Amino acid sequence: MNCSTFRETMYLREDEVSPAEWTDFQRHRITCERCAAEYRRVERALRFVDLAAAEGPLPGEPHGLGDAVVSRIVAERLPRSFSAAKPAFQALLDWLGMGWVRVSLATALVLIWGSIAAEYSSGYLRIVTLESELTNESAAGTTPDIRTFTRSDLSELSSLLPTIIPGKDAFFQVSGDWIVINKASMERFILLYNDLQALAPLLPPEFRAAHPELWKLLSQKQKTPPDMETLLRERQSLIRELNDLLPQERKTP
Amino acid sequence: MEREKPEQSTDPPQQLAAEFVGRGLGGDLPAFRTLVDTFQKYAYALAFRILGEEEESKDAVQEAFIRVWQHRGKYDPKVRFTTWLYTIVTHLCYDKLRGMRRRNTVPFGDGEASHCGDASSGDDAERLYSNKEIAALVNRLSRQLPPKQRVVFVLRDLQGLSVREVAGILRISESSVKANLVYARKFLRSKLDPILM
Repeated sequence: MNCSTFRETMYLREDEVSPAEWTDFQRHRITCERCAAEYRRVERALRFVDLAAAEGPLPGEPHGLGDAVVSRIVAERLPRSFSAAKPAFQALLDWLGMGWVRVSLATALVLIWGSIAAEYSSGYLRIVTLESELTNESAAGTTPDIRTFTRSDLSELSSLLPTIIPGKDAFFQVSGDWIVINKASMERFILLYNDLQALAPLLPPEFRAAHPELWKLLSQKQKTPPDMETLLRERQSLIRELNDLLPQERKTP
Repeated sequence: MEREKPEQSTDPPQQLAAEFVGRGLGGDLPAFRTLVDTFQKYAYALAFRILGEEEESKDAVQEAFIRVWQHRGKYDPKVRFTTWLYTIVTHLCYDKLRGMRRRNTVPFGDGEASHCGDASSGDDAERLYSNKEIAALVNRLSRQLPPKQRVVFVLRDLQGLSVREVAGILRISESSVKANLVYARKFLRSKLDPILM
């Protein structure tokens, strides 16, 4: 090994070169005093680096990182169709922080969820203003959020319904005169359901002890969380299918 | 001159973590939370050494764990979890570092080690300065390195990973790792010489 190669190799450690290279390196070090002096200076510098490595980085551990990560996961678990609402939801979670405020939020969500679940379980949706909303939205040229079909439509379609909406009773209500496909309610229901399931692990033990029934409700999955995107796709498909079956004058734009 | 592996932050409690890696990466959110709590300090140590800024480092680590969660299905159990985590953290930090360079917001060191005084020899210098001061100095000097050299230097010399591990994390050859190490160490030696002479 010559001096030039030695002065490159001297910046590598023993386990970073081959045994043969290391032997050549040591042989040159013994025979060349100038290179040996240079190497001693490199050794000192690397010892300094090793001391720094053993000391570790200076700042303390980050605090609240676990909370922040879980909050973001909770927020990002929301269906993609809510992506526009993510920053606001994240900001809300950040603002609320941990502890009893969040527990209160969870409790409020439970109550809201309960009322919506009760509404669905009754088998009816509020449809008082649906027709006028549809009319207004159609007149305004916007895409209606709610589609309704009248009794006459229903009679035409009744024979086809079992094949069109099997197992969709929870979100596609057939109530007397109406089939109501309520996107807003459906999304709200799913949003809250997912939130509650996600927030459940964050609830402190005191909350679990104080509210055993609520905890049971949250910790035992009542049903498989609905897949939002699939449901929305199915809803769109159903609306198209129903719309296609209607007489031309009743078709929704 | 075989180096001793740094005793600090590179050896997380693997046994404790193994259970939570399995459960957490399986989609169990409480177990994943435990995983974050267990590994965050190691990820943060790496991020801080690369970036040199607390807030940027916290952001990078948070983002890294989100990516771990999002891509948990791709985790290969044959690979150590820390290696996978370090890979994600490193690439996030490397991208941030390059962005900070472009914006000229990299937290540079003060450029010289002269403030450490005029110790007469390397051994004196080690006696004169506490390990904390030495660590601060080396960290500050390393921030003047170009991004790739800095990342290689941090992974190898400060985090104690092997050349092969560094090459795997950065997806570069072992020769390239060594070349970057030589450049980085030459630079640090040139800056440390004034206080070690």
